[in-house]
Amino acid sequence: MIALAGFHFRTIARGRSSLVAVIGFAVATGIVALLGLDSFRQLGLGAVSPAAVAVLNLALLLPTALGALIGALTVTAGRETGLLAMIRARGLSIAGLIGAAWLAVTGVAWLALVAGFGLAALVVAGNVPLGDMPAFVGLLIVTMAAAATASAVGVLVGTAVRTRLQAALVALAAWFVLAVGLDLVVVGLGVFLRAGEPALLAAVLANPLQAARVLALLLLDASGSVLGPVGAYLLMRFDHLGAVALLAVDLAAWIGAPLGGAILLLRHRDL
Amino acid sequence: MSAIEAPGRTMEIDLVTHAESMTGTRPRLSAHGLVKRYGERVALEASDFELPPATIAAIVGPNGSGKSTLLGCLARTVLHDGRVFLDGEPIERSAPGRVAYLPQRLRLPATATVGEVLALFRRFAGGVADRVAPPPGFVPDERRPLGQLSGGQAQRTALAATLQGRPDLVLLDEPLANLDDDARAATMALLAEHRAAGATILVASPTAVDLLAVVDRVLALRDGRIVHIGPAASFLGRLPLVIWVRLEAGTSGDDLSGLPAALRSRREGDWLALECREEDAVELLRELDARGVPAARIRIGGPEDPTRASPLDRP
Repeated sequence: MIALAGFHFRTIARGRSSLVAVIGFAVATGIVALLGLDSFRQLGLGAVSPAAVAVLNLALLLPTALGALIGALTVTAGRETGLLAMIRARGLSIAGLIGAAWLAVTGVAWLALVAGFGLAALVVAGNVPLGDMPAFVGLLIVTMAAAATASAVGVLVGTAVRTRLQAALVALAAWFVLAVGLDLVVVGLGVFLRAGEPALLAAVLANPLQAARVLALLLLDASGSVLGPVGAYLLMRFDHLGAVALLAVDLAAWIGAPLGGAILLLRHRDL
Repeated sequence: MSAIEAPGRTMEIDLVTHAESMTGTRPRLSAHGLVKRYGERVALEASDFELPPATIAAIVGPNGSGKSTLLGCLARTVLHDGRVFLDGEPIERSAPGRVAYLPQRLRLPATATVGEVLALFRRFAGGVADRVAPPPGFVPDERRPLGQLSGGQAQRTALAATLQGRPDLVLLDEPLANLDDDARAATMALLAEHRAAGATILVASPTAVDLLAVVDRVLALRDGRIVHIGPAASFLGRLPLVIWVRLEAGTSGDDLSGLPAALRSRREGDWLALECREEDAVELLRELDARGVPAARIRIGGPEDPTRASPLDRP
């Protein structure tokens, strides 16, 4: 599986679109960090500054879109071109095929994140206190987890559709729902149904990108005040460590469930 | 060899193969009740068949006859009913690397290099040394990306990757596509060497002609059913012979279409193609002679094109 994952990773990372995405994300992150320095004189990761939130949103949106899209395309392309069939005949299990695709795609998304955060770190170095470093690293880890969940969703999409065009369209639609659509639904229905904090927390857990956002903000601001009623409810119900653990388990489930679904689906389909 | 008349088709059962299995030589490949359906449509309804070790078998048949589906079933990449056994064990329990499969129209990633493709499949070859090394020049420069290779070079790379290790069952779907004559000859030689080392090889092809130099058996499919399985020579004997008659201007050839020795006929421009069994060819020529058709207007062979057939009045 690792050999196939490495093969996928190299071929994806060398692709023109992946290179553009990685470089584009790195440049965008660098610009946001620069703007943060210019406008606020510091990035302020010790608290939740607008620049830190901008970096977080950028890191939650672009690499996850990359992961979902490439995850779907990698599996569909592998089926269309015959590569997965060739490897499967040689004895690699369906779980191995799926796991390899996910590892590779997640690796590419992480490459984008590391490049972006690396550039941001260079920009803010000297302006941000050393004590902010754990929060900076925590932000990176959370966004990496979010990218891993999006890659898993992309891989699931790739097993469910037949062509690369379908894969691209469905993956982008799924990403849009997670990035924007579910929030709009929650905002709309929440007002209409007068949803309480437990319902809002359930909505957070039902969306890996939102769960990652809340987790990142909890790491940046232990008081959870920036999260409003949901943050207050989380901390009251689970305390800080419990809330972090709950969200981390939720993200892990958002990796495991789509991958498990993809394995089950592919076991019942022709390669 | 025996022939069984079934409604709408004739099936020859390879008694040699069954006899081998009955006398103790375990078949390398056994397939039982293979059926593949796409919804209501039955794409493959293959009868039971077996192949011994050290055999090259051609799977022939027109487009859509089920060749690729059959190979996919054997490779475990197409879901199906029925069972497949490799050396008596369910194929799904066979050790990694024992089955090698080259799908039709394989397109490996353009950004991968030849060396990376070979290294990847070496990892899945079961950790054993290659049984047969491809001849020098068969594999392109390992540093070249596949996107820069010609169709033939990419196909040779895929073939070399497929044949790595010591696969006992090799499944190749139209492996000669895109290959020039030299590469075809080299591929045939490679397959023959694998056979000599004990591998059983199934090669799908629309026609058996390009494989006849090396195949031992032919498995012919039509509409998803096996219509012939047996030695290559017996398959050749079953192929219809085409006798071409150049029609005179203004004639339709209808009077020649119904000759008793002709199986069927068709018009191709100025030519009338009369298909017959090889053993009936002389009788058909006599019938044409009796109808006053001169030898100069007759050609034999070239099933698709009279210009590639042999004139009858010249040796």
